[in-house]
Amino acid sequence: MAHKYFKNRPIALVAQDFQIRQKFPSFVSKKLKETYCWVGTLQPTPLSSTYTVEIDYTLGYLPKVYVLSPPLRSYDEKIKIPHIYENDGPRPCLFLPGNKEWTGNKLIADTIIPWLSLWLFYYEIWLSTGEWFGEGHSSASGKKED
Amino acid sequence: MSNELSNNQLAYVLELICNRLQITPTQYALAEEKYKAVGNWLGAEDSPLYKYQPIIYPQGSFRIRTTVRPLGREEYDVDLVCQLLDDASIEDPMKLLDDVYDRIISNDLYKPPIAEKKNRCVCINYKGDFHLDILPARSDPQGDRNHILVPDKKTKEWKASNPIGYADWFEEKARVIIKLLEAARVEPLPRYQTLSDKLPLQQTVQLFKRWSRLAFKDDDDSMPPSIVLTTLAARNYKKELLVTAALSGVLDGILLETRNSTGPLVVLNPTNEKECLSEKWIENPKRYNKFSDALVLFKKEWDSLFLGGGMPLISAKLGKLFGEDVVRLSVNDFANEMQSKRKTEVLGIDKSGILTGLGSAVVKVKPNTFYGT
Repeated sequence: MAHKYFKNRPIALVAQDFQIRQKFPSFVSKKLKETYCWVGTLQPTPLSSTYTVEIDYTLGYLPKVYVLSPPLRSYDEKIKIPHIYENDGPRPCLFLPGNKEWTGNKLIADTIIPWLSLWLFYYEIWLSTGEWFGEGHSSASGKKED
Repeated sequence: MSNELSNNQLAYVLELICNRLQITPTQYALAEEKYKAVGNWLGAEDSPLYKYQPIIYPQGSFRIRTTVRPLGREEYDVDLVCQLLDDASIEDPMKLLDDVYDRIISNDLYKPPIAEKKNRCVCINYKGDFHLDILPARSDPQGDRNHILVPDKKTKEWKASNPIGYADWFEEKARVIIKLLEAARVEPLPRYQTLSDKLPLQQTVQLFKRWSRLAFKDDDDSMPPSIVLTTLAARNYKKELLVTAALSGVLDGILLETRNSTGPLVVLNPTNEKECLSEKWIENPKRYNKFSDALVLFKKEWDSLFLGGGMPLISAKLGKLFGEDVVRLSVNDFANEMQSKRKTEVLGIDKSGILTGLGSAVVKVKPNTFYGT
């Protein structure tokens, strides 16, 4: 049953690292004990800002995503940014935990990074018009008042 | 920021704005149906106008497809000409206006206040959609069939006009080689599919008119007439293929004209060089000065759109130039378009993180659910 064994085994950090740096050349990596940390830039559309982002990942845990610059903000201090974790953040929430959208045997380069770029796209639209078009789970999306 | 990519993206957002500004295809079809029905009523056998063989056809922005949603009301203006072909005995323009009006309101469908008589046209109001403004006209004995005489607003006498000739002139100015246009329309711009898709000059005129109406919304007296803006844009258009380059070129061209001119710009009707369209400016040069000052500012703000700074900043600048409401709707259209690509799984991402079609992607965007407390 070697096949099944490999299927459920998490992808090795070095393989994650190789894929990220090959597909997204702006990303550089740093290894701290069992944790890998990648920093790179993403620009969701040619009209969007270029964001410096960080992804931290320890085998067996969920990857954590941070937007380093420009810092995430709301258009109104009374209104929360949709789809973020406040805890240790604000950090974009890119997937529904426990829904198999992310598992350790998926590539960060093929999931987390495209989702982050998409999140940043919807975030900029939300800042522009007050509406979140990316859908998602929870009622966190605040609508801009006229 | 790569200039070509960001220009294409900006052109795409501007096209979404133009789409939101113009009369919808449903309203367009409805307007056509309605004015043809009015034409049939005017020309029916039992109509007093029957003997003159009236025909009705569109003129102005509806004809050249540069309609712009008016500010502060929902109804578009649909300008029409009711031309009497056999008109040897028609002398008095006001009598003709009365005859057309009387015939229209003899139909219960158009009973006042639905139809109303204006200074020189009959207006039929379809609430929430459009006004049909029907201008009575007779043929001009001094020209071919397209040359007509219409009532003059001030003198109430006949005045020469040639709306079909003007539309032909505009179409010639707007025409570009479709193969070149298609080649210029790289992602995210949609393919140029049908001839009912707008050409760059048509979009440029829509944006120019919209800007002017906003810039002069509190100063009706100084607002330049649409036909002046349209003519200035068309005569300065150099067949650019994207609306970004087209409007930039048109603004440069008009600014150069204003710098080279010692007084108010003279804008002649290209189909009738005896008619000065910019009379309003010649009468009162202050109006012209306001226009040329506003234009300098427009150019500055327009150029700053190309500096980037992220969607929120660009949307705010677009909102200032073309109206916050329409820009908000258009930016939302942009997001909806992205969302539908994501749902149909034809969205990818390139090596810089740019969301794109699958062609230039390094990774396809897989389905996910944004979560959060």
